[in-house]
Amino acid sequence: MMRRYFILLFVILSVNIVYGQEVTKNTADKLMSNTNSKVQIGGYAQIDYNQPVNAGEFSNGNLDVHRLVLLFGYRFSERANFVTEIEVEHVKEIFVEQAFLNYKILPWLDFRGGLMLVPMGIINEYHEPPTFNGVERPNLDSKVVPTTWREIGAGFTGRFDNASLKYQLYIMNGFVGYNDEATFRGTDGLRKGRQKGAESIMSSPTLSTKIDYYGITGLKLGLSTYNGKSQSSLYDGIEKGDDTAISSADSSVVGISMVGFDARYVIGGFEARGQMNVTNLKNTDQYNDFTGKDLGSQLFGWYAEVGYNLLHSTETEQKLIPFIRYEIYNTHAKTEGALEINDAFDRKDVTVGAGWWVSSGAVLKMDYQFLSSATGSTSGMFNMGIGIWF
Amino acid sequence: MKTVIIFLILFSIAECSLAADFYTKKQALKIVINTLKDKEVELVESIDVTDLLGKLTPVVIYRFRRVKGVDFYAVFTQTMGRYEMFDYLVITNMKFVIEKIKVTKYRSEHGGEIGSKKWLEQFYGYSSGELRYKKEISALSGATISANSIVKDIPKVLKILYNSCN
Repeated sequence: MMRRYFILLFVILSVNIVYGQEVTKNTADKLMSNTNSKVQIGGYAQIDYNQPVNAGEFSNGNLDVHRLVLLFGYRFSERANFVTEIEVEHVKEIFVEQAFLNYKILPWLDFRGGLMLVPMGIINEYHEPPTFNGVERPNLDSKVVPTTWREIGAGFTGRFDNASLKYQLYIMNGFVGYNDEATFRGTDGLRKGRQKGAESIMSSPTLSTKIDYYGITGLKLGLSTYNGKSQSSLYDGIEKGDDTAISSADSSVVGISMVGFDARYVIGGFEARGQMNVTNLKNTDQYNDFTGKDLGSQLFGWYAEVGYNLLHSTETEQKLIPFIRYEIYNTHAKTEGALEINDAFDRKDVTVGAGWWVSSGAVLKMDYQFLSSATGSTSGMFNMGIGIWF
Repeated sequence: MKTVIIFLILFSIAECSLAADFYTKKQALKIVINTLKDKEVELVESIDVTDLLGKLTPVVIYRFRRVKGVDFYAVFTQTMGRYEMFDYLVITNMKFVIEKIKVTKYRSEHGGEIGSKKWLEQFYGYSSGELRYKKEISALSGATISANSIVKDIPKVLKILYNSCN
């Protein structure tokens, strides 16, 4: 009788072992075979060739593994998950691009905290190379919106499916305008003040919001805002009541108010997108006096882009999209005090090119950029690139 | 010893039943009532077809009846989003024509636009035939992968429903 039990026990255990194949798999096998795995892995990369074209002079081309980003996620439960992206820039610089915990409180309400992308415009959140035309991101998304812009913060996000709305609302750390030395400047505004969550300092938090609407077929609209003050190391250690030191520290910060509007539209093989951003800065007169910098008091820019998938009418999943993008960005749209407007910061780019998506996650790109500024200077840039996303 | 073996048998049965707790009758009834905004529905029958036709993700079919005596099917299943599976519900009439679709749980960080009621309305009236993203079904900015996935998945789900209930 006992023997029968053992035989039955053996059979049951065998069935369990065969059914539960996971015990024989290593981590990589599990990742690749189990679509319900608690661990997610992904990534994207951008490998570029940029060749400046300047009349009357030779220019070296630049070949660069511009970005290689690996994503790892872990789902602790149906409600809680963690996402991180490790970025290697130019082969040798390592950053953490995102690292946040998400907790679903209600179907329409998630808490999110950690190192997060600031939801401003299109590219800062959606910058995987196969998701945009052109080898390089629009320059608006470098000079006015300093992508990839991320800081540590916490807040709420969610969706209302019936209304086709997504919202995001975060309290975040802000740009550092002064950390032993001044960081903001005329040519690219706030870009050098990104702290990226690396031993970042905070003297006052900022508020970032975005609402997306996607209730019209093929169309997605976004409205983003960002408000707060820049951070300064000069407040650290000041005695309360020391008005002179506080006044001096106040001169090292600027008030920031940024608004962005973006739109994406796809119908058949036709696609179009556009974005506009305005950043108004307060206290730039005092900031420039205090630091000797040339920060403008208003940054403004917009771009519009159209493309058409020539393979749309075929059955292939490949895409061949010629496109044209027109963009204007001016980091001296306005200045305060004695600072004169620098026309070199009033720029216009026209980018013409094409992308061949050999698969939905892999693209070969080529384009030419006509670059000019209000000073009358003109130059060009020929670009080729490989973009992947998995 | 008997207790141990009985426990192991029960454990094995639970292990082998992949979709045992995937949208239980109680959960399904609650979601269907919310989706249809009709409290007067009752469950008639449930069919777990997870292992049929090679679809590796859970598929659970329920047959409901409205108080007026009109029956319909509610299919709960999953398909792949950007990095994780997402759950959705398909409601069809007894001729397997889609009357309602709802994304019941979306897990990935990006692509949640797939839950848009407006976009999902494009599937209403579909029962069979070719279904292609950006052709019969319009594009959905921000959720390309999830949209592609559900467009490919829905014909398979309807085929399973047809083969199981016809």
